[in-house]
Amino acid sequence: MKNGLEQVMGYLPLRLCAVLKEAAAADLSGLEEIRLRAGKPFMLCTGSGDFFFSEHRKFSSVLPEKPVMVWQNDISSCISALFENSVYALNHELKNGYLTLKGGHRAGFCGRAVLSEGSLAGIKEFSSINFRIAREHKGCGLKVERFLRTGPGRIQNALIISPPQCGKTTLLRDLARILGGSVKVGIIDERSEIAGCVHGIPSFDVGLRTDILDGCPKRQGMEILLRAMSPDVIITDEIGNSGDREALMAAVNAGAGVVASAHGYGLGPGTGRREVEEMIAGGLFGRIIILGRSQGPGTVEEVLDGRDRSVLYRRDGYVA
Amino acid sequence: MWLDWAGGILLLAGSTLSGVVLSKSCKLRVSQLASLLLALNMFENEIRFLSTRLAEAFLHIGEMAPGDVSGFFVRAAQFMQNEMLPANEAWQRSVDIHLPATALKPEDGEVIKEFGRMLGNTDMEGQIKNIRHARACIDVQHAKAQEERKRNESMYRGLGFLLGLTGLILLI
Repeated sequence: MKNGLEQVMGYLPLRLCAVLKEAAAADLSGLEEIRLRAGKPFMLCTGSGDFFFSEHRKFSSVLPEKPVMVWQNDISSCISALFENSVYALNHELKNGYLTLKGGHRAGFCGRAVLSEGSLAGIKEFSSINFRIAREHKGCGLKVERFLRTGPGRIQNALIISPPQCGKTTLLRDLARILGGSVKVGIIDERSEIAGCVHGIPSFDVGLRTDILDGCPKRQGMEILLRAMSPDVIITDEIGNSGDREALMAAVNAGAGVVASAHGYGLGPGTGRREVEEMIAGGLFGRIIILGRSQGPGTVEEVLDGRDRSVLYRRDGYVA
Repeated sequence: MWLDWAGGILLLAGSTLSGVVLSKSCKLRVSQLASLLLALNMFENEIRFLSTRLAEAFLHIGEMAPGDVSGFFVRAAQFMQNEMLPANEAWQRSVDIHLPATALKPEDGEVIKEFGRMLGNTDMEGQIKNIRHARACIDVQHAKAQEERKRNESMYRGLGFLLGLTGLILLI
């Protein structure tokens, strides 16, 4: 089975692939992103910072004098490979600005926006591509799982909060796998990130009793799952848009637990989206898990009781 | 004497045959351009209503389009699938390889190649505009080919025979 880097290399131009192959001999296990920007140096982002390549294929965190560059034709050939020469067939993905790849990785792209009657119709003249390498850290959810269980088959509503790239999705994925071992789990994977489904098949192990609704908006997804799959817990990511509160309330009122994630920097006003702050203030979540990068991506900084805000776990070792 | 006769008859046969081949190529060019128009219609349907991926769509067209022009599509699909070439490059290469096997002229080849420039790399609207533009250009070539056919088809045949006959008379 190919690893994440090998899977993504299949989409890169041969020239950049050759560069990466040499770097792969070095330690790229912490690789998070591969960045291609037209006219800019080829860049790898890892947990310990950004790395560049010199023309002599040297791999360094300092920008070399003559770095390996990315050109417009590299971007074009990459886009052709990503879209299988069929940009027109992936209009929905084009509007979203990203594409989920085999293995659950994600390719995001930027370029010139195409507007139709004031709304985004697509992107053309691509100028940057960002490959986000998905990873599966089996066992990373064990630390928080015990805070979610309230009894046999009963799961607390929980919210995972962190800034981008702190491992929210990885944690949700592992919680799905762990919880799916004993209760019925439904995943609403609006952006195909949790299960990384490609043609309906999940790229990751998301549990034995887990059903996935891939690419579905949360509100409709909740209705479908509740009606059709009777889940004990529903897992979804990146809440905070209008309508998400109603969607989550529908699940809670139907007796299902909800485990969700949201972008944010902690609790309190101004640290996240207003919609999320309102849900927390309304006591919707019994547990709040705050992630950070203090000990690398996915560090559980705190687990709080969502109602009285008492600390149940803290990274410094405090456990209630 | 009999050698003169034999040479003359061979000359007549060769010249007449050349005339027939030339007149046939006029006819073939018209039908191949018409087939290409039909293939572009199929392509539009494949992507517009079925959102079929490009290589797959080309293979479908290759199966359905008349043999003379199906090669353009099949070869391009193979280049995309086997050699991972971008659509534009795959199409250009396919046209370069397959054009000499058809009755199409180099000017037709240029029009067909132009169609490849935007192939697969825009949204649906862009692709449909590209197909329609290519169809309009091929339509013009088709009208020109028909005109040439009217003008030259019987002329080539007659001229071939007459040149051969002149050669025969001069020889004997």
